[in-house]
Amino acid sequence: MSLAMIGKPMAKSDKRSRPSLYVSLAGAWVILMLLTALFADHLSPFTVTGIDLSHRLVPPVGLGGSLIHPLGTDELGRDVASRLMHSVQISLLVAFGATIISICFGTIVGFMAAHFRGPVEQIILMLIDVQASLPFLIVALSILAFFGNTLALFIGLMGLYNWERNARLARALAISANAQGYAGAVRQLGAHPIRIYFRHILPNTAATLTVTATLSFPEIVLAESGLSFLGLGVQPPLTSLGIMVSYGREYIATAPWLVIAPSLVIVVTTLSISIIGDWLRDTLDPTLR
Amino acid sequence: MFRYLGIRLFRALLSIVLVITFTFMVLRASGDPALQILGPNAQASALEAFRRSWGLDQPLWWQYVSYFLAILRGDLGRSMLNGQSALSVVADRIPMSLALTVPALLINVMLGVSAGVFAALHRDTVVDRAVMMFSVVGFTVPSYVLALALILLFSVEFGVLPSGGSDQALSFVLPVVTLGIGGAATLARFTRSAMIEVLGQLFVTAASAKGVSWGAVVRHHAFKNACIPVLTLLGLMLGGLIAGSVLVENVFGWPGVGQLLIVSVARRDLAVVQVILLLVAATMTAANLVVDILYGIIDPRLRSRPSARG
Repeated sequence: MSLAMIGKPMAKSDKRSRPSLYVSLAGAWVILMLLTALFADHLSPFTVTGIDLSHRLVPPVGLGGSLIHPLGTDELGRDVASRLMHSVQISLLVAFGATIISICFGTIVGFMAAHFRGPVEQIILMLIDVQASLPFLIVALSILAFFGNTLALFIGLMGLYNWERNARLARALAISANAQGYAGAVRQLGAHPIRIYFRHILPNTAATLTVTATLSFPEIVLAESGLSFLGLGVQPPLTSLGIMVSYGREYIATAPWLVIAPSLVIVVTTLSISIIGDWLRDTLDPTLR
Repeated sequence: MFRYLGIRLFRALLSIVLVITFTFMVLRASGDPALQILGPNAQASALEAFRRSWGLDQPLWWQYVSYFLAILRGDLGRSMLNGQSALSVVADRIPMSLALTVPALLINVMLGVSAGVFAALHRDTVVDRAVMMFSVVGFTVPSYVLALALILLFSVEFGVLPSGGSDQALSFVLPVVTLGIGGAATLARFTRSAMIEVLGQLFVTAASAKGVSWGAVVRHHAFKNACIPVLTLLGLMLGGLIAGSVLVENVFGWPGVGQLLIVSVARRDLAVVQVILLLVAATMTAANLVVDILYGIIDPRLRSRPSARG
């Protein structure tokens, strides 16, 4: 799963100046998704669980449907557009929560390794190696099997995604920062290590850490949707993009829009965030490959 | 070389020990096994007897040691579903998973590496753009969406291939193609950037300048050096042979290890989950070990620097 860190190789042209058309389009889509997530409760014309058995499997507009249900309805007559909005909300909530946990945890662990060195660092590096050698999906499934599933636990679990990559990066950044003058100067002045790391080293490495967080965000969206697709992630009555694809697949022959609409949202969203992540990386920190 | 191998082997064993420790901790932290198996209404004396017979009344460190010894003996508990040995339940499914992942891995390597090398050699041409487009799609389209798209196209629209199950001769085609495309896309992207990086190095210029033919430069100088990062990725793919196709097996209803894992997680059949976790960890570690040895063979510099990687 750590494969996707391979950012999209970019032509070394004018990426530093202003965002290209792709980046602007990607940005517009991400903003649209964020607004949808924030205002899903006000925007959606129907509720997520609003069953209407007299209007089951109504096709979307353009395929014989009406404007009441622009994206059609599902097997229980629930409005696909409304469910899609709430799915975006939950999926982004999980991904944001997980990204924040992963970056905080990874940074703290990485800074600890850089600060203590010696045995502490060796143990942390060993844990990083073990985590890196296990596929996240398998680990996540095992933990869900042992502990059951709630939304809070699920977000915490997703927060484990990529922590080892963040920790490795934070450690390397802190080690090189420690060798620079400013950290040494503050240390000579008698500052507490916590102050050195979080008031001085963190702001100086924040750009790089932000870029990695952005690059791993789409991976977390994909991992969440995959687990939810298997029925082991977000649990009903909450809905997420993966759940919608999973439910829709039974009707793939008769009502393909149930699968196509959420799939497109997943693909376009992950693509957009990756484009923005690449652009951020090229703009803020070209050293990251 | 032996020192290099020794360190690698030690680290591999260490990670296995860590994974076993992890499963032990998770197993103990997830609640009282006696309550879980006998249910909340069981009598106190029955609970006590259960705990004694499974050694749960022993001190924790002793439980850990005996857990470890049991695993070494190959005693991995029984499936709660039918009382069969968990190991044999999992082992029964492994050939089915390999039937998908081995052909898929071949597609990955053949298609991915050649597309990546070709794109790197023809940089900024139409072919290069097409390969890049393909690899971006491979990254952003999740495997289950790709699987459903293929079903929609080949099973629903054209009706030429079965959409699931494993009972027909052509059942394996769509799952293998799904896995093959996804992996090939990632590998192509990775190979392309590794090749481009190597082609920009001075030794490539030097080799061409001294009159080595371009084909030989690409084969002997560039490709061999670009192999090192690509091998890392291949190691991960090799480690996914047994349980790397969870989502695809689920979509196509393919009775492999991945499908077993999902069912066991849903039923909380902990013994089976634990066997799969250990099996995956062992495969991953073994694959990494093989890759490490290959590094040593391909790149003599790494033999003397055990900590350097990729």
